[in-house]
Amino acid sequence: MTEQALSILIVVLTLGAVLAALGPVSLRRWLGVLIPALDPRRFACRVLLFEEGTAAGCRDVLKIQIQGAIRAPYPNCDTDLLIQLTDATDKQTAAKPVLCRRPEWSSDGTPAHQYRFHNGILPARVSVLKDWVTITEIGAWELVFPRRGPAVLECEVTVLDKMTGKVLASARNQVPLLSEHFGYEEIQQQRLAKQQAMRHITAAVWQMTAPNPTGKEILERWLQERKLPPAEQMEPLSGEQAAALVQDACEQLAGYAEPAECCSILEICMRIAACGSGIPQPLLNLLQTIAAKLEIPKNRWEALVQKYLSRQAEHIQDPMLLLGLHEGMTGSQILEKLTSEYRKWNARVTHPDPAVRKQADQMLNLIAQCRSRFARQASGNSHG
Amino acid sequence: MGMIAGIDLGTTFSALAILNKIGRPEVVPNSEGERLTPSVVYFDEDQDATVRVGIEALNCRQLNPDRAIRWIKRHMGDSQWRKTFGERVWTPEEISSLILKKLKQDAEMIYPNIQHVVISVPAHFDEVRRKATMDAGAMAGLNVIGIVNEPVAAALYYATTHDVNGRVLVYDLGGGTFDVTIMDVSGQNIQIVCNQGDHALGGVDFDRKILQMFEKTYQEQTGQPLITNSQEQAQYEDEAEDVKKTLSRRPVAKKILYGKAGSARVEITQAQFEEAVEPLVGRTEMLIDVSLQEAGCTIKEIDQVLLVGGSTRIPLVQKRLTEKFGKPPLVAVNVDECVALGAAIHAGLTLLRQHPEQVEAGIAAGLRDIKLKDVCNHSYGTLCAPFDEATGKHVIRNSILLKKNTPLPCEATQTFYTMCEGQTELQITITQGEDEDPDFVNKIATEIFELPPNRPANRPILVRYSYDLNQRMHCTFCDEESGRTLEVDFDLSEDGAAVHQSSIQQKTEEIAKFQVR
Repeated sequence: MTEQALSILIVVLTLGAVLAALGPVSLRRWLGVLIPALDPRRFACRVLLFEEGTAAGCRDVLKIQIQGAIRAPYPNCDTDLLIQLTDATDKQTAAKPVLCRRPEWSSDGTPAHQYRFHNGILPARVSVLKDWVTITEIGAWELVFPRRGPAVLECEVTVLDKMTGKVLASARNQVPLLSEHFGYEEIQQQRLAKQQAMRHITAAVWQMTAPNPTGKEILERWLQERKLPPAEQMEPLSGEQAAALVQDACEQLAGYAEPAECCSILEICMRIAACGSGIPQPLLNLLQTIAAKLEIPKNRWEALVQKYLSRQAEHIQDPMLLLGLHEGMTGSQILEKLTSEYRKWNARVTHPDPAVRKQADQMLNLIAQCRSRFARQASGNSHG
Repeated sequence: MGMIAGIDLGTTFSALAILNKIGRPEVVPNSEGERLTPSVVYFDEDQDATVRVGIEALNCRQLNPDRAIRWIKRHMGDSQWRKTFGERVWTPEEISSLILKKLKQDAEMIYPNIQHVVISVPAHFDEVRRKATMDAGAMAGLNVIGIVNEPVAAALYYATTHDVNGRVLVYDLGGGTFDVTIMDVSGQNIQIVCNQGDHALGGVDFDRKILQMFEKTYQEQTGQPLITNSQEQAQYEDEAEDVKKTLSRRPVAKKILYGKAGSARVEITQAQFEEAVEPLVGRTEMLIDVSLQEAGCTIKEIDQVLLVGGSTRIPLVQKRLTEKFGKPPLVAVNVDECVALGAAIHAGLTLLRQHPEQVEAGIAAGLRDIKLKDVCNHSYGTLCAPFDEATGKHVIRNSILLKKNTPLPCEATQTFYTMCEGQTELQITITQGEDEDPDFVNKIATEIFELPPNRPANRPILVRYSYDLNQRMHCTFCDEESGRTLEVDFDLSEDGAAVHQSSIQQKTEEIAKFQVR
């Protein structure tokens, strides 16, 4: 090895050690700076990454700069700048769009980043930017990449004749960065998986519910809104198969469904179940499994049971569930709970909807029977 | 000057009382000499222009139950309920107007010119049902000057005619509804503290329990069902009512049931009856507990319990109340009449407030010392979209502004905020009901409130609800920045809609053509 080669190796190793010590953010920043325009007369662009401090912490901002010569067809040519950001991580395929959360940074009715704005008048036919000039800053949090993880952002800057749209100068550059959030491809995959899981859960509940047109209509409309195939296209399931399917689907969902979505799935299942004639125990177990797997809060589960399953109050063998009574409650707690349930349902008994009136009436009867039974038991205990 | 009257338009029986020259209420007997008129209407097969109301209708009912209407009060205000006789389709208001017409017609045989009327309704009746009741009165040719809650009317009667003082609970178990009212009485000053009601609990539900016992016994003895058609249904409903009345006086009631499979002997003891109706009585106790909670008092703080309504004659009711309150309830001789009597007093007070010049001096002097302070009958609110921490999204909720049982007159304000940037309109929904869940409240009005454009989110909207002594509710929605306001009025006594008024006028003319007897 010659002396010159040895000194180059030492410089590279030292530089590497310094960069490693500076950490990933600085590394990304340096990588951006390390790609300068070699020929000052050639039009070039670059992307610098820097951190912006906010009250909530630091976040990355992309600074886009240009340098070099722009040739106009005539003096005083009015110009626009067009910035397009794409994802060039996968070298085997064409660059993929980078989506943008700010509508003014995209055009053509798509969320893909494509930002055009007025640049100004070029006084001479040839204008040269000797130094790097910042043309815009974009918050990295505003961009959505195809996938999460290390990514290569490609930035293309084009100078356009505002009048004719003719390209006067164009340059592109790449910068490596880390996409910290789920990408749109992953979100799409998750969405499909989530919808499939939702379809499996609701269809399993439907299959366990006694056939009825109202429940079917609710399910079909719900599937239609999500552009999912009709429930009829599913293979008929036994009770065990339905339970297994629901278990799998809930586990899938629990990973990436929001709490609001989980509540909404349980709610639609309850609505379907409430349309049948009675709530058989396997169906009730299935609903309980869904609630448990999706980690629905207890008070939310009880509220949904009361709202929907109470329509089948006459068919539910265990009134404890409908009335929110638990093992271990004292006599006075039971009485208090029954009174509060009575108060609630009594206020609903004059509702304009006959279905709600009927539901309230059934619940009032159930509460009265339960109270009477409890009073008899209490009186038996005190005498015995 | 016309007569001032109060009408108890009951589920099973109705009554009319007038105020005499010194402001004392008196029940007016009907043309059959009875003080109570059964709330039954019968449409003759062969006489389209004649309708039987009262005892005649009740007697005809067993011949053809399909042409008889009972318990119409339970359908009051129900827009879905319709019945066709001949070529005419009848609504609950129209059927009720026939009962009121009969009461007016009979009373005018003794006191011509029944002019100013207050009709009683269960405390839990909502605005729709109250309005329907007023409409029924108007269709019967009555000038309805107000509506009074049945327990309030009964309390008025008790407080002005009996020795009642302190914190009083009125237990009103009628033919079809049950109400509890707690009030403070001091001399003739009556301050209502709270009203609670159960829409579907009354004497008819007790009758049904006996009917079920009939059916069970007959089935056990003959192996056949007792009731196979509507005539038999009507017949045994009446017999069940008789047995209930018997069991209120005697320890056992005996009956021979003549069904299609022969006769069967049924013997029902008071103990059996009490066991069967225990859940119903328990339900009334729960309403008492709810009322006590609402009034913020304990059982010990209730000085007197007043009984109203025929079903309070059931011994179990009185026994359970005595056990619960530790003292026997106060029973008037005429538990079936005190609502009509109190409604007549209320009519006098209402007319004194609205048109004192139309009240005779003797009546005015008789009512001079009575002071009644009522409360708001329901909770009123609006739909809004607060952020739900549990689900992480905005959810539609009913936010109550005016709470039930707030003393009248009352007013409440609350500030809400717009949700979106550039929001140019707001859907205003006024609700009536106690629930937070919008699916369980009655949406009584929906309006669009237009807002100025190009504004950020979170602009304050001040909402003000007020409820006056004449049961008029006024709602104002004010965009605080621009000063724009939207006003919505609910008026029970004067319906602003000309279309509605003309429709009532037309129906009044139609009903006037029917002869009631």
